[in-house]
Parts: sequence; C-alpha cells; structure tokens
Amino acid sequence: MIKNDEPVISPITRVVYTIFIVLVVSVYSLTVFIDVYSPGVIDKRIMKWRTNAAVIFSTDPSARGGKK
Amino acid sequence: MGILLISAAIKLLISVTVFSLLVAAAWGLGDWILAFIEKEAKVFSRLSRVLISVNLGLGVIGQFVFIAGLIGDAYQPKFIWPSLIILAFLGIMRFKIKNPVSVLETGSQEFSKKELFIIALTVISLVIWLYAAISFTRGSDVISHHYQHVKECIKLGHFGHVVTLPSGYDQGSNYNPTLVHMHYLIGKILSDDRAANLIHWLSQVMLLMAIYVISRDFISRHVAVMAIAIYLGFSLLFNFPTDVNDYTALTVFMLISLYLIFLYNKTRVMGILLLAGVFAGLMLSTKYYGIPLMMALCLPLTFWNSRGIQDRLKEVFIFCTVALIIYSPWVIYNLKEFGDPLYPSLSNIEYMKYWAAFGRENTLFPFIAPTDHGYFWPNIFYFLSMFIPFEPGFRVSGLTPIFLIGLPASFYYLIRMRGEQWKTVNMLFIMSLVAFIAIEVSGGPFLFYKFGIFAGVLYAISLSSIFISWQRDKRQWIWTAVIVVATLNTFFAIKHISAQLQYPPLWHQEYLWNPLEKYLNGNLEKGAVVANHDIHTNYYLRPDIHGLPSHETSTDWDKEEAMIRSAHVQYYVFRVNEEMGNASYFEKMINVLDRLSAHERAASTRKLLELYGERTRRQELFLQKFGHVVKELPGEIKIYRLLDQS
Repeated sequence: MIKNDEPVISPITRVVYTIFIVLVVSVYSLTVFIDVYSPGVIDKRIMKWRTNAAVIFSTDPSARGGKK
Repeated sequence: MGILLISAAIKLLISVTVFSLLVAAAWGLGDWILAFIEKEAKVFSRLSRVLISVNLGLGVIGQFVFIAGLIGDAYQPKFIWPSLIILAFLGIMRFKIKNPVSVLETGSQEFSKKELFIIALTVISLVIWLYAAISFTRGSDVISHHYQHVKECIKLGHFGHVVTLPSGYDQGSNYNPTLVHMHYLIGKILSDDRAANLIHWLSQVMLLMAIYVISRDFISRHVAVMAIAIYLGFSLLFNFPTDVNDYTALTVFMLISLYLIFLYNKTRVMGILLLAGVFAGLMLSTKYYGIPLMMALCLPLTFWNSRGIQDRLKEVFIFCTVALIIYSPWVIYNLKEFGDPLYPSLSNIEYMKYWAAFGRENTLFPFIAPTDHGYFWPNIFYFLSMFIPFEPGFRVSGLTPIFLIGLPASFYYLIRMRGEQWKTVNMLFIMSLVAFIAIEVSGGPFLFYKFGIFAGVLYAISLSSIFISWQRDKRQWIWTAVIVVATLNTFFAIKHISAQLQYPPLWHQEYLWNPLEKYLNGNLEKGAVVANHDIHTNYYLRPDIHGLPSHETSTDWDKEEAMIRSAHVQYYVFRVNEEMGNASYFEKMINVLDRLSAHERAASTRKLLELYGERTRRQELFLQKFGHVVKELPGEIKIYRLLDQS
C-alpha cells in the first residue's frame, strides 16, 4: 500500500506543472470536440502545416533539395 | 419475415451457447490445473484465481486445437462439438461443488463516488462492446486477416494458410503464431462470427480484470480503479472492441505472467514461477510481439530480485525455458513448413522485399489521405501525437494524454524516490519503457499505434500509484483530469462505434453482402475458383467457393497469370475503378514527392506507375483473349468466365 509520501517541490514547479496539466487536458478536449462537431477541420490545418514542416525538418536530403 | 427472425434468434442463441460452453470449459480446466499448484500453498486471491483459471484454460485449449490441426483434419464440428461439451460439463461440475458467487467477491472496502463513476463508465463500455460483439462485425483486420485465416483453416479441415494473388503467400500477419485464432475457430466452426466476437469481448473483460487484480493485489484498490480509469482514456478503445484482434489477449497473457512473477518474488513457490513461464509461452504463441515483450518480463526476475545472482539467473532460465516449451509447437511448425523458426521474419522472401520497397512510399499516405503517419514528420510531433491525437486517424491509435501529464512525475520519482514502496512503481515504469522501445524497434518505426497497449497498461498502473500517493487537494486535480479524459474518450468512442451498432443482433450475415458477393454466392457453381483481388469479398464467399484474393498492389502480371493457370481459376473479377484508383494513388504520390523536392523518389515512383500501367494492359489483353464477361455490376465491376487454361 502506497502511503502519502510526496517529495517536496518548489511552488514555481508546482504552478508550472499545474499549467501543463490544464494545457494538455484542454488541447485534448478541444481536439475531440472539433473532431466530433467539425470533422476534417483539424485534418486540413495539420496537412498544410505538416507539408511545410516536412520540408524544413525532413531527415531525407532529397526532400530538402539537398544531396541527389 | 417471422421465420427469418426466428432463425436469426436461434443462430444467435447458438453463438451465445458456444461461447458459454467455451468459457465453462476453459474456466474448469484452468481451475483444475491451478489446484495442483495450490497443493503447495494457498496463494491466489479469489479474483486472481478466476482470471488465471479462465485464461490458462483458454490457452491450453487453443494450443491443443493448434496441435490437433497439425496432426490431421481435426477442424470438423463432429470432433469439436463433443470435445467442447464434455470439457464444459466437467468444468460446470467443478463449480457445482464451489459457490461461483463467492469466487467473485472482491473485498468489503467501500467505493468512493469517483470510483463508482469509473465503475459505471467501465460497465457502459463493456455493455456497448457486448452489443457490438453480438452483431456481425464489419471491422478491418478482422475480415482481412483474423477471420480470413480461421475461415481458411475450417475449409482445409486442418491448420494452414490462405493463398493470395499474385505471389501465393498468405497475408503477412497470418504467419504470426495465432493462438487466439484457434479460439475464434471453435466459435466459427460451431456457430458464426458472433461466437468468435464474444471470445474477443471476453479478452476485453479479462484485460480490465488483469489491470484491476495486479494493481489491487500488489499496490492498492484505489490505484486499481484509477489505473482502469486511465486505461479507459486510451484512444484505441473504440477500435479494439469492434475490430476483433489479438492484441488484448496478448496483453492479458503478459499481465498474468507479470502478476505471477510478482507473486513468485513474494512467495518463492516454484509452481508459480513455472506458471508464469506458461503464460509467457501463451503470450509468445499469440503474436511475434511477445518476443520483445519477454525482455520486459525478465526484468523483475533479473534486477528486482533480492536473491543472489546465481539464483536470479537460474530463475530467468527456468522462466524462459518453460515459455519456450509452451511456444515450441509454433516454432516446430514454422521450421518444418518453411525452414524458418520465426517465419517470415528471418526469410529473404519476395513478399517481404515487397513490403520493404513499398513501405517507404506508403508512409506518404497522409499527403494523399489523412489516415497514417508520414516520415516527413519531425519525430517529436510523431511521438506527441501518441498522447494527443490531432486527427481521427491518430485517435484510433493514441494513448491517453494523462501519460503526457504523468511522464515528468514518473521520471522525477524514478530519480528521487527510494524505498521498498516505490520499487514496484518505478519497476513498472521502467518495464513499460523497455516494452515500448522493444516493440518500437522490432515492429519498425512509426508502428506504435496498436502496440502501445502493452506498454500502456503497465504504465497506467505505475502512474496511478504516483497520483494516488499525492495529498488530497492535488489528487483531486489529477482525478478530475483522469475522469475528464476517460469520459470524453468513452463518449467519443460511443459516437464512433454507433456506425457499427446499426446492425441489430437478430440479423443474418447475408444482409451485409454487397452486390458482387450476392452475385458470386448466388450464381457460381460448387467448387468454383474465383480470383477477385479483394480480401473482404473473399471472406463473404460461400464456403464451397475457392477464392483467390489479393492484399497487395502488384506490378507483376507474369506471376499472377502463372497462378491463374496453376490454380485453374474459372472466374476473374475485374474492377475498372480499382485499377484507376491504384494508378491515381501513384500519381498523387508523385505530385507530393515533387512538391517536397524529393525528385529521386518521384522518379522511382513514376517508374512504378509505368510498370503498373503495363501490368494493367497485359491483364486486359489476357482477359480479352481467354475470357468473356458474364456479368457487369455497378461500380464498373466485370466478372469474366475464363476458358480452360490447361
């Protein structure tokens, strides 16, 4: 049985962690609601963003017009 | 109409009866085997005894069915009906002696409101999945892979494989060890899909039970309920209950093996270590992913064991040896049949080369249809999408965002927290990391989606332990987050699943047939051989029609033509739209590659498109020369009757 045995954490860390939790759950909830009520909206945005990101971040040289 | 309904009701009743008989047989058999171990000491909690008995019985029955299918034509109702009835009768007789209700008692601790809410959510999910199970399924892998293989084994009368065009190989995944298919086979040979669906539904129940039992018996009841709540937040939930698969059964075998390892570390009863090995063997017999997971299972015996190094190694050796003995029928079959113990993993065969060649380009799929991951993604976003699925395709496969919240805490606790009470928590975290990495490496990158479940359930238990240990005010926060995610996911799942729930349980499978399936089943003569290029259509063909489906887009017409001749194909289904669709897929791929300045790959794909065009031209010439159209169906489908090729 696990007893309450928390490590001591600074107030700043606690605030940052709380914001992180709220942010993650909010983004998740938003994506679910948008997907349910406006299917395809996120897809289109992600597709556009991903195509741009692909060229910048790709590890494949030929995708960046590098080594042939 | 009335007669149709009555016959549908009778068929459903038979499905439920077959499922119930199998459960009674498995439970009784497993309980009988456990009684031998408990001669040494009473070590199992009541609930864990139920969990272990049912799955042990299922495992033994599955292995036996596999071996029987290797020996001869055992896959016939006249052998399986009496065996099942006798085993079920013996099983029921065992429980006449005991009180079955007392077996399910789980202690007297009262549940809090939050816990009751999670229990209600779990029950809602299970009821919906049950409803989906007693309808005829329209999943993906279940038709193209799992039930297709079962159907072929039933048709052959013994264990074997589907032959597909153009290479003559089976669908790749069917070469995995397929213990669960042996359970589905019992359901389908004695009844229909629904008995098999129910067996898969049982694995969902067993998985929830395994998470609960392992958390409750080794950490605490509160942790157990939160771990289930976290599991309910897994995004794959709505996919798994309706697309029948083997991942959940594999996870159950893995968790039970781990439970027994923990129990062995506590009790040192050798019978328990042997039983842990048996369950690891059943895990290996379920899918190749069991092999990398063995690494995770060996960790608690190797590193979190208070005994000397020699004893530890001895225990690991015993555990692995028992697992290999249980797994050995599959290895022997592969060696004898294909000369490769892990077929096709170690073989240099053509269809593996095909996947290697096409897999690279297939990752471009998201640019063509947003359903898969692309390798142009920066990896960080790829891994992030595991927790927060940004699009429906990812939601199928994602884990819960609670894991993203928990990761910093888990790493912090791993580094800072010492002492006996944190040992199990940190060990489970490390095991989940090892399991995830091992699966990711062995399965190939960008394939995490379904495999996250193995690592995910271990991590859910570890993380719940950390959250539950927090002070009341902070715990409330995290409970809120867990409940929000679990609730959202469950209701999103219900919405998604509703498409599958439109088929009422009092139905006949024939109602699902499309016009092509209706025509082929209604008009083809007994024993007809039909090549149809669609593995789904093949599944719905009458058992006496021999179907040659395809599950790949090939550019090699020579090979296909040779197979058509050698298999004496009489009917050939030609889909104009499919041919055009494949060509258009390649064209879109080339456009995307050009847009990304990946000119080399664009050129190679253009070459592929040319080869595919050439193949289609030769296919059309062949059909004009050796066949005539007997039927045209909507969607530009033409059914050719081929001349005798011999």
